[in-house]
Amino acid sequence: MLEIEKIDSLYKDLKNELFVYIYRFINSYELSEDILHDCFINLIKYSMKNEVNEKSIRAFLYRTAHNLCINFLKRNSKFSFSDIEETNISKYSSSYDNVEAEIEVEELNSKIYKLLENIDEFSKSIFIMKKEMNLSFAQIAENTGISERTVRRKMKKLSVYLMDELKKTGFI
Amino acid sequence: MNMNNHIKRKDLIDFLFGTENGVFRRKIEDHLSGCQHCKREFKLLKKIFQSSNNTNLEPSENLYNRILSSYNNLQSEKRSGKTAKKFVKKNFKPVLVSAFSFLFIAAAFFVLNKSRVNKDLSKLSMVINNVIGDVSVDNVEAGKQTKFGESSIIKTGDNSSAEILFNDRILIKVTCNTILKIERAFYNKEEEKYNFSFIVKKGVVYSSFNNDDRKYKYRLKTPNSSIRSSGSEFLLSASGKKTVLLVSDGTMVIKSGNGDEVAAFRNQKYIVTDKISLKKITRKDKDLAAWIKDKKVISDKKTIAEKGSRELNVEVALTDKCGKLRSILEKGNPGQ
Repeated sequence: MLEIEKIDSLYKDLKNELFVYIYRFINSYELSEDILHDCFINLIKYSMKNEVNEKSIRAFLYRTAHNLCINFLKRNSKFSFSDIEETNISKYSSSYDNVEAEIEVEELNSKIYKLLENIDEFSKSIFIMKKEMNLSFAQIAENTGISERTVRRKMKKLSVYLMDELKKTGFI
Repeated sequence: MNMNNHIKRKDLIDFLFGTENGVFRRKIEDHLSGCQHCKREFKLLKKIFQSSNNTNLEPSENLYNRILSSYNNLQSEKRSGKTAKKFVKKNFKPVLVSAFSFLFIAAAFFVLNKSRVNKDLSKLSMVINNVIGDVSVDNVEAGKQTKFGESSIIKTGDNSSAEILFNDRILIKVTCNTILKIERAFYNKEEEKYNFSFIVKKGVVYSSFNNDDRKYKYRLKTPNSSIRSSGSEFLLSASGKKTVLLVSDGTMVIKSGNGDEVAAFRNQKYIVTDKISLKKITRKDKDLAAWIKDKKVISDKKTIAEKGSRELNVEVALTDKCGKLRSILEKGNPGQ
């Protein structure tokens, strides 16, 4: 069983990126917390019966998060990303120069996530990892359990789709 | 890539993610510097993959406490599981012997002290007050003043009814085709209260529990519900998987087989199947309850009803076999 100090360290390192990943799927703060909680509990339970490879913990957590999100969405038949209106999220970050640019980005992201409703969960998952976490294809492959080549292929296909759609709606 | 036209989208994507070789990258860079269209496309692509910048998006501090708590629980479960296994393995025989000894002693204690603990049946009076038609107690024909006790089963036939009196205070009217069991009936010396528990296996009963002095505790059971009351007036019908409770006065608490619980108040009617539903009280419900309350007799056979009306000098509600009202026979003057 993993020691509490290890859990503590893992949590501090990964909580934010995992949370963002889950949140982008579920779009509910409370549910995202629940899923993140379950991810760590699954890891702890796994470690009670199996030897845990330190290098694969990250991938394990991502894969668990991915599966839990998919299961949740299937149970609730929801594949929609509604507009973000969480009060604890700052809509505008300090990295933008002006408000107009911020609004434009916000609109674009909103549109993107609406378009993502029409695609498969795997591609969605890969996209979120790339966009929000800026993970490399190798890392994404490890996290999702598919080959890097497949990840690249899916990403390419998704990108073309998004660009086509965004062009139709006048974002370019 | 066709350098005379525009960069293909998939090439732009490869370029963005840094997958092209050095020569090809330089060619794309050169094209981008001169082509506004491709520049715009590339800019859009970058924006698509630009992080939403959710720098403030993080879980609450409470989440970590939850994880810690779950961790501790899992750890405890693991320890107790291991400890229990070791203990049992090592001490199986002594544990088994101890368990049986304890059970034996507990059973002996219970048996020996059962009557001393809280029961006093001598304070109870349970008697059949009135009989019409075919009524039996423990499969023995019963008549007026037949006594019975705990665990007795009262049955009424097709065209029959009976009145049961407990301590001259609790009245239960058992209508036709009803089986009523007196599950428990005793006086608790420690609490100084009378305890009753009845099972209506099928049929219709009317009851009036006078509990002004709070000395009585009652519970009724049907095949799919459990009802408790501390003093009320009601009509209860039980058939298979359906229980109907009509409360004329007081408050009762109904619990279904699923564990759902509802408080039923005066002038409310509940039907219990796999759920508990509040229903509208019909005129017939009211009439039926009123007739029973006013000590009227119910029968589904005219001759029995007429006999009851004459002998008891009361109004008799003549129903069909399902309990639905057909007519009223005036007291002492049936058929007119």
